Amino acid sequence: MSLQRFILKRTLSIIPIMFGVSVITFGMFHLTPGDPVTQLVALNPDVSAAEEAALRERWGLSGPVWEQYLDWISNVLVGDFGLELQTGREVSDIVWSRLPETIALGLFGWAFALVIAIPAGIYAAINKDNLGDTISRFLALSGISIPNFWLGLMLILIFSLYLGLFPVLAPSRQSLLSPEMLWYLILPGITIGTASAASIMRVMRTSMTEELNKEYVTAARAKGLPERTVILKHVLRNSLISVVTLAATLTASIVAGSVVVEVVFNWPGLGREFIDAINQREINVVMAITLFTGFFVILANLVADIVYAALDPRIRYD
Amino acid sequence: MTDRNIHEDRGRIQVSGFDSDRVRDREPISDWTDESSGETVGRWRRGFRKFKRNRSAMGALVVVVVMALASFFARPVEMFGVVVQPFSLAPYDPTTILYLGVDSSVNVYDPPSWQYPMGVDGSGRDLFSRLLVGGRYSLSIGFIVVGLTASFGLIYGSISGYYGGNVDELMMRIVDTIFAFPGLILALIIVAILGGGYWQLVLAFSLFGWAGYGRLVRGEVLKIKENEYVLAAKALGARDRSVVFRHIAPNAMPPLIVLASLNIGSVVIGVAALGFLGLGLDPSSAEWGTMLNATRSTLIQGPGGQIPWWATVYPGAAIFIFVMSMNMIGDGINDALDAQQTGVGRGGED
Amino acid sequence: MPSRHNSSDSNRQINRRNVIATIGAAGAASLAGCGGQSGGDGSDGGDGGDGGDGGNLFPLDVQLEVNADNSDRLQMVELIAESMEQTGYFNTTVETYEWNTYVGRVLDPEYQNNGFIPCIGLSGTFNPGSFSNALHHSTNIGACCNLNGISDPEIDELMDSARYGVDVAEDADLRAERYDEVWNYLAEERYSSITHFNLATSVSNTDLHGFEMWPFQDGMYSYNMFAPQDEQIMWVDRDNAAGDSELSDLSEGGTLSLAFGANIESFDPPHSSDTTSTLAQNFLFESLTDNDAQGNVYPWLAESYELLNTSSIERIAYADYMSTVGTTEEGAIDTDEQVVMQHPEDSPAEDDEVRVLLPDDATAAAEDGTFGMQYRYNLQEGVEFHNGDELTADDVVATYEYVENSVLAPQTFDSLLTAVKVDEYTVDLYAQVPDAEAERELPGLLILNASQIEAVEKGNIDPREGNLPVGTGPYEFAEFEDAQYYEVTKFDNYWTEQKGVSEAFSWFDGSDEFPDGPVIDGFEVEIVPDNSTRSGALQNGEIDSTYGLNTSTLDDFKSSEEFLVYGVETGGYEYIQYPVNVAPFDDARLRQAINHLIPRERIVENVFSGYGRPAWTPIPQLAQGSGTADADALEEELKPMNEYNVERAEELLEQVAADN
Repeated sequence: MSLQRFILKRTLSIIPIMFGVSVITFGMFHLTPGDPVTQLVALNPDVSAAEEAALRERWGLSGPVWEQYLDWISNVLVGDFGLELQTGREVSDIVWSRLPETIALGLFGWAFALVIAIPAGIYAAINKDNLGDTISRFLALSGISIPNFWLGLMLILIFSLYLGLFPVLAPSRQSLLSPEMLWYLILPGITIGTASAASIMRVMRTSMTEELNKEYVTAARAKGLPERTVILKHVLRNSLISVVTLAATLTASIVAGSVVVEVVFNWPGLGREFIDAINQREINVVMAITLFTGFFVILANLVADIVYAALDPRIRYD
Repeated sequence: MTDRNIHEDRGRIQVSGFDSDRVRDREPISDWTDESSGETVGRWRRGFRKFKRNRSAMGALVVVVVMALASFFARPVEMFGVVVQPFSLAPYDPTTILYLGVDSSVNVYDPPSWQYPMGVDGSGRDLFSRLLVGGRYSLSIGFIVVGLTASFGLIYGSISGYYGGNVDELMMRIVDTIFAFPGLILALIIVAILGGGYWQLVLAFSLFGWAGYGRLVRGEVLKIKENEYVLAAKALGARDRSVVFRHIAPNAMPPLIVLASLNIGSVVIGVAALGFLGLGLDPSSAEWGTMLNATRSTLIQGPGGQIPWWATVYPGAAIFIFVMSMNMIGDGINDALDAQQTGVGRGGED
Repeated sequence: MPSRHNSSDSNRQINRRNVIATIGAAGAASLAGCGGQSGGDGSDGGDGGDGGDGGNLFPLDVQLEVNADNSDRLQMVELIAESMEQTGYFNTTVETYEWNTYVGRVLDPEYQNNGFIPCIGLSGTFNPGSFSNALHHSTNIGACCNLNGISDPEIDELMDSARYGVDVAEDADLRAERYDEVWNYLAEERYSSITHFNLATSVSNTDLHGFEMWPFQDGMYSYNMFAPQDEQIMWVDRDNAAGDSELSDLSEGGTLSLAFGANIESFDPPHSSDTTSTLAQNFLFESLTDNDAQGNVYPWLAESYELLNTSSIERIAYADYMSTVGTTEEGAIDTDEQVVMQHPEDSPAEDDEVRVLLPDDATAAAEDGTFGMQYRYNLQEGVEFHNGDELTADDVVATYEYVENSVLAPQTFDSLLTAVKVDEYTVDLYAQVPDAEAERELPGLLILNASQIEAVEKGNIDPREGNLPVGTGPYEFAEFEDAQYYEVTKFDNYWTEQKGVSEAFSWFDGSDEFPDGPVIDGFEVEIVPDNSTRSGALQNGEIDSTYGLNTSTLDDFKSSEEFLVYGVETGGYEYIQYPVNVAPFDDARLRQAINHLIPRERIVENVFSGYGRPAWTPIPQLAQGSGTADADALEEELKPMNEYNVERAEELLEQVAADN
C-alpha cells in the first residue's frame, strides 16, 4: 500500500470514531434520569405545560432520544451548538472566542516540553547510569507524579509573589502575538508542559539507549565518524520517531491539563470556560467543548499517525 | 484516568513494546522470549527476586504500605454497627473543630506544634488527623478503580483479541472512541452529572477507565494466541473460554500489572484534581485535593502576611509522595517483569 | 471551579431580584450535588442522656444545608452544627449543594416539609423590611426567601403595618416603633436566626485618594467617583500617597485600574441583578434620585420632586380597573403582559380566571385618581445621553415600561403602579398604596435611552449583542471583552460639568473646591474571579484597587504602608431558618435553644477574621434610621436572647424534652 493510500484510509477511519464521539457526548447528557426541563419544572411550579413543551422544543429535548440526537448532530455539523441558557449567546461564538488562548497555552506547553525533554533525554542516554542520569530520571519521575494544580500554585507562589518576576493576572487585553504575552505564558506553560516533558524525556532515554546499542551505530563509530555526528545525525533522528508516536497521547494530556491549569492561572481559555459551564450547568457549552476536545484529539492522532508513517520506512501499511 | 501509553492504533502505531511486528524484528532486550513463556511461574519468581533487589522500588513499596496502614488505622472503622478496627492513630476526628470544646486557645491556621504536629486548618481542625483519614479516600478510590477497570479491561481485551474479525473491529472502535476523550474530561462530566461523592468518583474513573487495559490485553492476546501451546490447546478441543482464561489471560498479566500499578497514581491525581476543582467530595471532607482547594486562597496573603504553608504543603506532598511511590513501584515491576512499559503520559492529566 | 465561584461577589448573596434568573439556571443540567458529611460520631450522642428522659426526642437528628461554593458560609454552618453536636442533644449532618441547585432546592415551596435547616445570605437595603419580610412574610414562600414556609398572620400584619398605610408613610417615628414590635415578636418566635452582618471591604494602593466605602457593593465606584450629597470624590495621584488627603489636594486626570470579582453578565439594567453587572452599569447610567450614606434621598436626574397626593386606599380598590385573564392548568396566570397587581381574593391556583391589573389598567386607574401616592419629578433640562439625545420624560416612561416582565419587575411592581408623562420634562410616578418606602423605591431605576429601547430587543442592551449601552452617566462605554476586561472613558458632555455642580443641584451646599463632575479620566477593569489572584495582582502593582478579598488577609493590608483598607457595614446578612412546620421545630423553645447555640462572636472572629458584626438585633446600622426608635435600647433588649449560652439552651431543651 502506498503512503497516499494509507493516508486516505486512515483519514476515512476517523469517521466512525467521530460518530462514536458524538454519541458518547450526547448520550452522557441525555440518558441520565431527568433532563434539564424536568428539573426546571420540579424547581419552579409556575412553569405551565405549554411553557414546558416550548422549553423542550427550544432546547431540543422533545421526541425520542434518537430524534433528539439527529436534531442536535445536524445542527452541530453546521456549527450550531445552540445557545447559552443564561445569556442566550451563541455557544459557538463562546468556543471560538476562547479557543485561541487555549491553543497558545497548549503550544507553549508543547514547546517547553520539547525544549527541556529532548536534550535531557539525550544527556541521560549518553550518560546512562551515572549521577546525571539518575538525577534526571528522578526529576522525570517527579514530573509525572506531581499534581499539576499543585505545581502551578507553587510556581505562582515562588516566581510571581516572592520574586515578582511574572504577572499574577492572566492576560486580558494583550494581543496573543505580542511579545509581552511571553511573560504571561511562561508559568502556565511550564505547568502544563511538565508532565509531557517528563514523559518525552523517559521515552527519549529508552529509545536512545536502544538505538545506541544497534549495529549501525557501532559501524558508524568504526568508520571514524565523530561521536557528535553519530548521535545527532543518526541516533537522534531515529529516536525522535518514537517521540512522534507519543505526540497524540501528549496532546490529549495537554488538553486535559489545560482544564486544571487554566483554572489555577485564571487563564481565559476553553478549559476555564468548561469548568465555569459545569458549575453553571450550561449544558450546551459543556457539550460543545467536550465534542470539540474529542474531535481535536482524533485529529491529533491522525496527524501523528501520518507523520509517523511518513518518517518510519519500516512501517507496513496493512 | 486512562493510561494512554499503549497507544497502539489498530496495530500500526505503538509505543515500543506492543507492536508485535517491531517486537519480533527487534533484537531481544532480555533473555525472556516468547519461547520461554511456557515457564510463566519462573518468570514471576525471577521477577520477584529482581524487584526485591530494586532498592528504590522497595522503598516506595514501604512508603505505600505505611500510608495505607496509617490511613486504615487512623480512626476506628465501623461496619454495620460493628467496630472492625478499634485503633485510632489520629488524635482527633477529622471534623472536630478544636476551638469548640476541645481547646479554646486554638485559632484557625495555627502553625505546627507538638500538640498539632501538622498545624491547624482554616476551620480549626487538626491537619494531621485530617491528612491521615484523608488517605482513605484517595487510596481506596485508587485501588478500587484500578481493580475494577483492570478486570473489565482484561476480559474485554481477551475477548476482542481472541475472537478477532468483526468482533475485534467493533470492540476496538469503541476503545478508540473512548480514547478520543481525555480521561479527566470524562470524569469531570460524569461527576457534574451525578454529583460529587465517593461512589460517584469511583464510577467517574471506572466507567471509561478500562479502555487502556482492553487495548493492552488485546495486543498481548494477539501475540500469544499464535503460540504453539495455544494452538495445541485449541486443536485438542479446549473450549474457547478455557483457552482464554487458562492460557492467554495469564500471559497478558505482566504488562497489565505494570499498567495497573502506574494507573493507581493517575487515578489518585485525578481524584485530587476533581477535589481541587470543587467537583469531587463534599467540600469539608478530608480528601487531599479537596483540602488543597479549601486552603488554596491562603497562598496569597496580604503584604507581609505569613502563609500557612502547612495547609497547602502537607496535603500536596501527600498526593505527590503517594503517586511518586506508586510510579516507582510500577517502574520496578516493569523492570522486574520486563513488561517494557514506558510509563508515558501518566501524569493524571490524560 | 469552586475557588472561582466561592469568590465571586464575596458572599453569594441572593439579591431578591436575582431569583428568577437563578431559578432559570438551576435546571440546566441533570445534576445532583451533595455529599453527606456526618457532623460527628453518632455514638457520642449519649452525653445528652439526661435529655432522653422525656422520650426519644433527643438526640435529635438535624440536617443543616448550605451551598458548597461559599467556603466561609460552609465553615459557619459547620461551626453551628458542631456546637449543636457538642451538647449531646443533636446529631447533626451538613449537606452541601452546588449554588444553582441549592437555590432551586430551597425556594421550592415543598422544601418546608423536609425538616431541614437551610442557611443562605441575603442583601438588605435601607428599608428595614428587607431584614424581616423576605424571611418571614407568607407571600415570600416559594419566593425569596421564606424557605421553610413561615406563615404567621400576626407577623405578616405587623410587617405590613410598618410599611404600608398613610399613618406610617407620614410618620417616621410611628414606623420605627412598629418595626420595634416586629423585632421583638421575631425574637420570641425565633423563626430564623440571623448570624451576622457583613462588612464590605475594599483595598487600594495609596495612589487612590478620597475613597470611602459605600454600604452597597454595586454602588461603590459610582458613589466615590462623584457624590456631591456627601462631598465624596475620588482621584488618582500617583506622586503623593493617600492617607489623609484633602479636597484641596485633588488632582484631575489619570486612569484607575480595578479588578471585579465576577464576569459582567449583562449591561441591560432591568435584565440583570447581580452585583457585578450593576457595578459595571453604574458608570454609565443614572437614576432620578440618589442616596447619601444615611439613606436620605436627593434629586439627581430629577431637578426636584414632590409628593403631590396620598390617598388611603388598599389594593382591593383597583378591582374596577382589573382585566380578567385565564390561568393555566398548573395555576399560573396566562398572560404575556406584566401583572402589576393581582386581585387579593383570586387565586390562580384554584380559579380558572383571575382578575389582574395590567399596565394599561394601572395607568387608567392613576389617571382616574385611584392610587396610593403620586410623586412628581421635574427633570433636569439639558441632560445629554451618550448618543447625543437629550433626556426627556419619554425616556423615563420608556424605561419604566421596559422593566415590565424583566428581572427587576417583581421588586418594581410590588410598590409602583405606573409612570405617566406630564410634559416634556415632568413625570409622575404612582405608588399602589401609601408606602413608607416609596420615596426611595419608586425612582430607583437606572434611566435608559428611549431610542435605544426602541431599537433593541428586550434584554439585549449588551456589547456582546452589538448594542453598546447608552446612558447619561459620567462615563461612556469604551470596550468589553467577555470575562476578561471592561473599559469606560469620561463622557465629554456630562451634564453636571456643563452646568456646574451648584447649578445642577440646588441642594448642594458643599465646598467651592468640589469639582463639577468626576475627575478620573477612565477606568480599566480586569475581571478576576479568584479573590487571591486579585490580592496578588494588587500587591504586584497590576491593579490599583479591588474589593472582596479574603478577610484573613485584610489585617496585613491594613498594617502595610502601601495599601489602604476601607470597610463599612453593609446590608448583607446570613441566616439559618428553622423548619417551623415540622415537629419538633414547631416548638419555639427548641428554636430558641438552637439560637443560643450559635456562637455568633466565634463566627465573626474565626470565620470572618473579625470583618463582620454579630447580629444581636436583626437590623444592621444602615437600616436603623427608619427601622428602630432606639437602636441601643433594642440591642440591649435583644442581645441576651441571641447570645451563645449553652446553659440556657440546655435548660430550654430539657423543657422541650419534658413535654414530649
